[in-house]
Amino acid sequence: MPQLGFLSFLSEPWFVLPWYGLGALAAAWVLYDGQHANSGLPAVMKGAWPIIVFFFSVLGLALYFATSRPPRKALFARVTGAAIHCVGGDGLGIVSAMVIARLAGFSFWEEYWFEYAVGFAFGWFIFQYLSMRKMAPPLKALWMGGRAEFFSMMTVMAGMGVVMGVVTPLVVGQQPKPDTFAFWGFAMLGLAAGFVLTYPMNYWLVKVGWKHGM
Amino acid sequence: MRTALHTAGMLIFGLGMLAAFAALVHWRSTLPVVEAPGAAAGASAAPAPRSPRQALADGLATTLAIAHESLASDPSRAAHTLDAARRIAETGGFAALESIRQARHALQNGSPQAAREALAGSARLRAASSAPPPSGPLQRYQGAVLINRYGARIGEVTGARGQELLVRLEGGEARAVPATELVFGPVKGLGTTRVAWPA
Repeated sequence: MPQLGFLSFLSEPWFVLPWYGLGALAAAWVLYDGQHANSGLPAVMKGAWPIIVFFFSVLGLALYFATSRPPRKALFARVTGAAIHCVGGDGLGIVSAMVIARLAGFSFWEEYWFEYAVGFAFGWFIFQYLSMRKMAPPLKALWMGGRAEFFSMMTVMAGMGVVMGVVTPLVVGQQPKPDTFAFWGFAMLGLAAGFVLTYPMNYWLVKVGWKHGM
Repeated sequence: MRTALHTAGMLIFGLGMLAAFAALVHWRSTLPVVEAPGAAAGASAAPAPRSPRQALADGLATTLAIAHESLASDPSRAAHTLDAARRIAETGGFAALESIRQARHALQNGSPQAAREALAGSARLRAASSAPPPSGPLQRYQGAVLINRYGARIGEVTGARGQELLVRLEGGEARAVPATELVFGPVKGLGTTRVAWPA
C-alpha cells in the first residue's frame, strides 16, 4: 500500500481555510491589479489569473508576479501564461462539474468524463476562443481554439485524474463531497498536477505557434 | 508534413498520459484490502460461511476492524479500507453504511479521531440490516463491478444466462457464477452498480 498519509494536511482546516482565504484576497487584488497597474494584460488573462490565484493561493500570486507583469517576452513567462490560461479556463469548468457530480453521486468514471466535457467546453468556448478571436475570424478562431484546447485538456485531465483516482482515495477515501475540506484541498492539488503535466504540452503548442504565449 | 508530425506527436504524448493515468486508477481499484492469500481473488482460507450474505457480513466486519485500527496508525490504509467498507455496505444493504459515511466525512474533514468514534458502533449496526433482493432481471447487472467479501474489485459482470451471471475476473478468466453465490447491490442509473461474490 503506497503511503500517502503525509498529504492528509490537504483535508485539515488549519491548512485549507487560510489557503483559500489568502487565495480569495489575492484573487481580488489580481482583479484590481489587472484593471489598474497591469492593464496591458490580455483581457482573457484578466479572467484566468484570479481563478488560478484563488486555487493556488500564495503560489499562484508568486507565479503572477514572476510571469505576468511586463515585460512578458521571455519564453518561460509566455508558456506559463499559456498554461495558466488553459488551467484557469478548464479548472473553472472542472471544479464546477465536480461539485455537481459529487452531489449527484456519479461514479468515478462518470464524474471524470463529465468534468472532461464541462472543462473542455469552458476552455474552448470561453477562454481559447476569446484569445484566438483577436487573431482570426470566428470560425477559424473556433478551430484554432479547439485544437489548442484538445491537446491541452488531455494533459490537464491526466494530472487531475491521477489526484482524483489514485492520490485522494489513498489519503482520505474516494470522491469527497463539496462540504469537506478534503474536496477543496485535493481540487487544488489536482489542478496543480494538471498545471505541471500540461506545461510541456503548452510549451510545444507555443513553440509551433498553435498557441500564442500570454 | 511538419503539421502532421506535430499533431501525431502531441496526440501520442497526450494519449500516453491519459493511458498512464487510467492504468494507475485501475491498479488502485484492485489493491487488496486484506493482505491474505486468496483474499483479493474472492477466495478465503476461512471455513465456508453459511450464506453469501453472511460471508459478506464477515468481510465487512474484518474491513471495519482494519479501518478502525488503521485510523490511528496508517491513514492510507484506513482511507482504502473505509472505501472498501462503503462498497460492501452499499452492496449488501448493511445498516453500518451510515456510520461508514459519517466516518469518511470526518476523515475528509481532517478528523481521524471523529472517524474512529463514528465507526465504533458500526459492528453492532451491521446485524440490524435486511437482505436486498436483486433489482429486477439479472441482465440488468451487465457491466456491474464484481467485488469480493472485502470490497476489492475482482472483475466485471459481462452478462447473464438463466440464473447465472457471466463474469470476467481480473486477469481475464471468464466464469459463470450461480446467482445463489452472489449478493446483488442496487442497480444504479448514476453511480456504480456492484455485485459481491463473497465465496
